[in-house]
Amino acid sequence: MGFSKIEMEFLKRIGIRRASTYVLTPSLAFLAVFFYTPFIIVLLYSIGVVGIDGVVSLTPTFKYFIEALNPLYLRVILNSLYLAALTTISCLAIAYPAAYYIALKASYRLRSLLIVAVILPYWISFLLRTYALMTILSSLNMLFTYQAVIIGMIYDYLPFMILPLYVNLEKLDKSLLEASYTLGANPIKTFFKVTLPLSMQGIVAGCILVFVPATGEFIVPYMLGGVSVTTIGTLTWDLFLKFHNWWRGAALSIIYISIVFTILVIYVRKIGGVEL
Amino acid sequence: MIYKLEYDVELINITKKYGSTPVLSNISLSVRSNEFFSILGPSGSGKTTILRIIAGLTKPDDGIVKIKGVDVTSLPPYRRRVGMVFQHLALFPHLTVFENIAYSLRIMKMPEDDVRRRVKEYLEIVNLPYEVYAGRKINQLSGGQQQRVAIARALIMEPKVLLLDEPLGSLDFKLRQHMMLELKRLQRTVGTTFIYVTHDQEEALIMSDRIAVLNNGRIEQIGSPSEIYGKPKNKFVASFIGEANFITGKLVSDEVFVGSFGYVKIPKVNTALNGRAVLSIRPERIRVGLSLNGLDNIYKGEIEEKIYTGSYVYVKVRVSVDTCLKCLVPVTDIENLGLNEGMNVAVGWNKQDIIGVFED
Amino acid sequence: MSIVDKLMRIHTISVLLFLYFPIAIVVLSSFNEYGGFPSFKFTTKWYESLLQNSTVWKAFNNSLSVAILCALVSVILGFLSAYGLLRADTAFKSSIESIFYIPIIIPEITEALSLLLFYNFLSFPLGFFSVLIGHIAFSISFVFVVSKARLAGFDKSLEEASMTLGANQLQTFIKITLPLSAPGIAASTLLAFTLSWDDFIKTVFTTGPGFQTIPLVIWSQSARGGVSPELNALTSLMLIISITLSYLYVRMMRKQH
Repeated sequence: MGFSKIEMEFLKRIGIRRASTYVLTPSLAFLAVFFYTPFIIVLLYSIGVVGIDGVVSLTPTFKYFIEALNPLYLRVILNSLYLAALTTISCLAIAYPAAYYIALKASYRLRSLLIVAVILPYWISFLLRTYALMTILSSLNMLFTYQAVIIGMIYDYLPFMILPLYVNLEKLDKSLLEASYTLGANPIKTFFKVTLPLSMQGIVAGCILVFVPATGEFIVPYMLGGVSVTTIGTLTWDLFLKFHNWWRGAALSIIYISIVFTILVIYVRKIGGVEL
Repeated sequence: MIYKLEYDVELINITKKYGSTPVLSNISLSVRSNEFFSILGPSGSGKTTILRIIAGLTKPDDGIVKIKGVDVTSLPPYRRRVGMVFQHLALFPHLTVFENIAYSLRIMKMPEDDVRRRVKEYLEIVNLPYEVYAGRKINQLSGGQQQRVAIARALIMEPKVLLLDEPLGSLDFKLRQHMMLELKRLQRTVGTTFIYVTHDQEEALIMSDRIAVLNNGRIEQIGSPSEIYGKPKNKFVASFIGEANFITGKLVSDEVFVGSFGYVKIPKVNTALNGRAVLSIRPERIRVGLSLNGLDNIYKGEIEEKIYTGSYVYVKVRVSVDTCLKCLVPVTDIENLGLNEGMNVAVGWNKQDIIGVFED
Repeated sequence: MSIVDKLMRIHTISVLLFLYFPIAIVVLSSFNEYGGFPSFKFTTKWYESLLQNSTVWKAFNNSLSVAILCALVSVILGFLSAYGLLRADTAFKSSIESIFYIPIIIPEITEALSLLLFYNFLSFPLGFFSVLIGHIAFSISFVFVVSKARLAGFDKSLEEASMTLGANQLQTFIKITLPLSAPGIAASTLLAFTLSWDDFIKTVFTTGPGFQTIPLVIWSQSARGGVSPELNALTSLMLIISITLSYLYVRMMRKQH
């Protein structure tokens, strides 16, 4: 090749910069056009700058936001948040002992089997799992009830909670528990003083992974709750795909995202720094 | 006055198996009050298991554990008041230095003022000033400092005995030397019985009042450092502690041993050893000179190798086709006598310099 | 084992049974002559009728084409981006990274409706391409994140050795980086394929009249409260495909260079 070391260095530097520019640009461009630009469009629709057939007018208005904030919708928003919170807490209560057992109590061989068993449903889409649950609920005549929706939400989101809890608990240094025992703390006190504080990261991660998507969930309420259960998700579906009311829908989405984002920020701030 | 011996810890016929592999076989030992007792053995000999059984973290398959005369075999660790310093310290990462040390006191529901006073006291004992270190997080401390926090944490609850699991392993050389003296001083100051587990014989010899040598789950010998070093009971102890030459040969009578290089006068042996035996003598007990006299045993040989280690010199002298003796020679002798590789020299020792004649 | 331990074990097993019971029921029902329980008679007739169902076949073709194209495009773009960013010398590294991370964190429904409005604004025809674009946007991010993690563990000195031996940037990439990253690239392709294959929310919002994928078929037939044996069979097939895909993915990810 016959280049001196200095020339190689120089070419290497220029080469890297240029290569990565060539290589990053199409992806960034794609995302810019098909992911980020649409959000701006949503904003434009929500303030009424875009009319039917894409006609652009220059008079922004808040009327769609006001429409979206009517008491009926507000109640739906509150119910969705409540449902998401209920799902999160239930999943936490159910998942924690299971994750604890698999991470700390199960023998090595059993553990690998168990963790695979827990992850597998994770890989099966919500739609399929919800349908599977539907077949059982339908034969039990429990379809289209609020209870069915709760069961469905917990059923679908449980793996999302188990995994982060497990990953966190598995890293726990067992000798910390032993040290606590020799210092006079029985297993219960050890759990609250050592295990629980050290598993906080996993708990926070799990709660976020469940709560955020659960607020916007519409597959479960639709399939298992029918018309008796309305959430932000089902409302969005109706507004966009049934009534084609793009403007109110856009305003509602912006309200929804803002609420979720605010809750997230408050939650993360309160618990401290979190690594997902 | 009758001098009554008190035992803080007694192990009686402790046995432990993992699956079908025996880890400890019939271990019995007694540790006296205020004693610095070491359990010394190679990796895998079971010494950490003994410690865990005393602490209550592992249950023995058979046998009894007594602490201060009370049978604690079925008691869980949080009811034994046994302090333990773990090999990797096991300091709580989510708590500060103060909170780590105060942990056991808070469990006991001690009033906060007393807690603060005690923590201060024990930080002082381990030489970590309260104002500087109390509020720090564990990961802000150096290895040596973390060590001392771990020790203070275990000592503050005034345990019946303190167990230490190879605590000095990860420290660098100078720090280890320093900590060995620190630990000895601590034990004397606080007066608690220490049971110290290590594979490093130097640590055991320097710090201990008594040592138990462990091999493959069995106790080979228990004694003071000078006993273990100077009067090892068998070949394993002789080879594990310090350096030793091992010469295979035969016992001719109970006072004479014969090796390939000649006859050796030995101290009277009263075991019924027939046939092959192994004679053991430490390098520092062999005298090396151009010619020697006045010793029970003198032999001629050739210097094969000179190994310089800084403050002293090992000289390997070949006295027969299959016997090469490692001798420790003061630097002054090397210089005065001009000892060098290839030279013919005389080596010799007295009967009492021999540390033992063992079964092969 | 203490009582608490025993209780925890029972609890864990119950959780697992809870997770798998419905799935097992669906699969079993799909082989049941009577559709539901308690009576059971083995049959494959529901699967046979599936194979004769033209709607299902059309949807299958659609799902497959979209998934394959999505996988190809996302992997090329996503992997190259991860590689490029890792080797780049710029202060904007973390901001560029976040551009890729955000699509993963945003709730799917928000993404889906934004795209719909976007298409509506441009009067973009809804159908194959509108769906494909949505899938790609999401998959690029996923592939990027996975590739970045794999490449971070990549031994840079191998590339540097190659360059001191006379190979330039491109040659090094083709001869060294690419072959060693092959398992990771294969895994990412599988991931992108699976994401597209299983996708429902984005698809349902961005699809046009007459264009259906399998998830859409399952949805439209079940949303009317319709639990049917044929649907059981279709779902079971999808379940088996999902499980196989994820198994392959895990196998490929386990392969380290």
